[in-house]
Amino acid sequence: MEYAKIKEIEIKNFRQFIHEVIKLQYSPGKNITIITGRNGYGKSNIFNAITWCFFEIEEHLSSESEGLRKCPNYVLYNLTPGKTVETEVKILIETNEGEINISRTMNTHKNMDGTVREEGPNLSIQQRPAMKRNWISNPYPDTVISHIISRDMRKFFFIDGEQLRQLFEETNRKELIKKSIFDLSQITLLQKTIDHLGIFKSTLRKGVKSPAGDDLRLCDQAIGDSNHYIERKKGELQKLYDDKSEAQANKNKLDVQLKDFNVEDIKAYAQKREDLEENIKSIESRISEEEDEYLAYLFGVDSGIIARKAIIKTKKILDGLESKGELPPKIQYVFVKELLKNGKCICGLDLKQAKNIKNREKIENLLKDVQISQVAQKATELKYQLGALLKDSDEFEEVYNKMTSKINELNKIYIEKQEELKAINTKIGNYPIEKIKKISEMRQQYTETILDCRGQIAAVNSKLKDAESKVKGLERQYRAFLGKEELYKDVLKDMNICDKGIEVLTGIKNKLMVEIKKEVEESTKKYFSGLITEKNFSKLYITNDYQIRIPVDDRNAVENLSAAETLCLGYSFMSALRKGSRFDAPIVIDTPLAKIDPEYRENVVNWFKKSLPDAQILLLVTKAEYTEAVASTFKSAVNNEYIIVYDGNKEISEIKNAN
Amino acid sequence: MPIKDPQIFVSKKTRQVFDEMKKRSEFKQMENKDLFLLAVLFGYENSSKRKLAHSDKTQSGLTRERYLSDEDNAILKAIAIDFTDDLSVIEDITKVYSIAEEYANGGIEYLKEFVFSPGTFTKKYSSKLKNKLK
Repeated sequence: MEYAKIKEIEIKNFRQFIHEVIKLQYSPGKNITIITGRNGYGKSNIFNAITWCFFEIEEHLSSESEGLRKCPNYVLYNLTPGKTVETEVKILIETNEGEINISRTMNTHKNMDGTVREEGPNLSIQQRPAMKRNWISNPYPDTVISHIISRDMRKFFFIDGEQLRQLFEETNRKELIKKSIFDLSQITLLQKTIDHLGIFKSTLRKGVKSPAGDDLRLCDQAIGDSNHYIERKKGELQKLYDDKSEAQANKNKLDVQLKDFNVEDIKAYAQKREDLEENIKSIESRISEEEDEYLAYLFGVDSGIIARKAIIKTKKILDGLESKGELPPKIQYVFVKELLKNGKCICGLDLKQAKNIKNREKIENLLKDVQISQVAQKATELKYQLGALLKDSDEFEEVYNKMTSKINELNKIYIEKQEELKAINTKIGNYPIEKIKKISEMRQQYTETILDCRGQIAAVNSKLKDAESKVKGLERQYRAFLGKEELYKDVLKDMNICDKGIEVLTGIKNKLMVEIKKEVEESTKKYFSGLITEKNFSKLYITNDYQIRIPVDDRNAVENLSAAETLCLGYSFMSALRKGSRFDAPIVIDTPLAKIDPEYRENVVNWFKKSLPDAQILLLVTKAEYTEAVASTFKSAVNNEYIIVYDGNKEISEIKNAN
Repeated sequence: MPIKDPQIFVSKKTRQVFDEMKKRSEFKQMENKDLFLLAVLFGYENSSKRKLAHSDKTQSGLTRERYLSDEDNAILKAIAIDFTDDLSVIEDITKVYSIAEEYANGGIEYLKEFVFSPGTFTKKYSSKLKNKLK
């Protein structure tokens, strides 16, 4: 079979459809059918109807539909007890060998007590070879289907946009790629032959009967034990690889999330906030100190200002007395008294020191020389103190300006810093810090798991290598023992033939897989570069252990692809496999553009048109995906366009021709 | 004989106001004599002088002479001279304090109103002093 095109899909009593017929016309370049429907209207159930008909699988079953009967509730409700209703999905396919009608049916019976019983499903296939008039029933329907699309390859032809993306995430990718290339290589028969030769070799070995304790028997037992050990270790190794791969995939996902959060920026903001808070605290403390000092100054100068009238009046009286000579000249008395109070002579001598006691006494005697009455003495002191108070209050304006401007300046800086802090807090507040912390912790755990797995893998690999080398030695020994026994010379000959056969076939298998891998690699690279034009993904390659790699700055760019890019990689790989299969099967995609950013949708649509002009494509799209711009880009390639209409009362959908 | 280290008395109400004032950050560190001087200044400023009740004088005093600085005494003396028009009043420190006590008693209401009116004390007080000098 070279190609298969769906001509018609008939859906009867399936999910929300009572009886719908979708006709699909096809011609190269006008190869796309669009079915538009809102979420919940039944797009995915059209997809499910197709996969159910082919494989008895509903690939995209919503959680609401799970466990529900295939027959619509509306039909079941109106069904007379004792009657049966048939659910059927029929797909008419045109191939180069003729037409094929695939029909999968099941019956739903309503019992007299209202309970419901389901029977089936049954698959039948009718074929009408080219140029023939009659339909012939084919007794091997599954075989016919596998010739159209193999069950293993179905995910690359019947695609759910979101599932394809998930399928292409790191955890599944390696196995998926290996299996797909294996399936595409069509080497199942080859593998079966290799397996069969292995089994035959074991049978031959079992036929060798040697007495207990015999070298041959002991050697055989040792080989058996070692092989058993190797199998166990291989199992352990596989589990370790799986664990490591899963941890790596999870770590990559977290890295993408952390990248979106811009953790480095947050760190810088957090540091800046810490510095600012420290700075603000220091300014607050300086303001407080300055204010305390200023308040102390106010309490020192206030009396000179408020009681200024009393001070001036008193000073005037005292000045009058002094001028009349009733008060001693202030300099003489006050000066000498001040000298004693301060403890320092005019010549710089420290009058407080014991050795200078005589000098102090001399100055005290000077004071006695200016002895005056007690009132006069008090008045003189008072005059001096009031003079000082007046002087302080005279300087108030100047000191006030100096001190307040300092405080104001600090307050201004304080407000500026507070504003800065507020802005940073807003910036940091926009980041989900707790979530980032949690993600970072999880990332660390995955990193530790990866390192742990790596260590264990190295250890298990080393043990495996030792065991395999031991088995090789034992095998040589076994064959040597066998060669010595005349009875087993033929067995040895057969075993050697098996070995040779396995070696040759494995070589062919590997060569085929390498060739197919190379072909798929080339096509995937071409398609992916065509889809993602703004990034350079031209270095894409598939490693010997089936990993897709795109080296960019010593990293594998595949690990950091966005959801949309991962989906595009899926489309590219799917198209590469389709090309490699050299078989033209129809492609059905549910929500093909949902994960693609609106600005890239036209690019993807153009890619579909350009890369798959000969493929029959059925797209099930939402209104949100199928925008005017998308519709206009698709227009020239669209052959049929349908719209799903939903009746909410009956919970029934109809498929109407959009034209 | 001059009285050694005489006491300074205030009314019960004045004490209550001082206690309230001390709860505020601006006055937390202030001593009784500082608050007394403040009340005296407010009394003098407003020419408000009121004798203390006899009972106020029989209680223990608010502070003593020894806690007052030379500057504090100089102000109180100037106020006493201004009130008595007699320089010799400075020889009788008890009289000087008695006059000051009466001013404090008369000033306490003004002080209370000023301190507990809206706005920070520092700002209000600096503005008041500034205006006084104009």
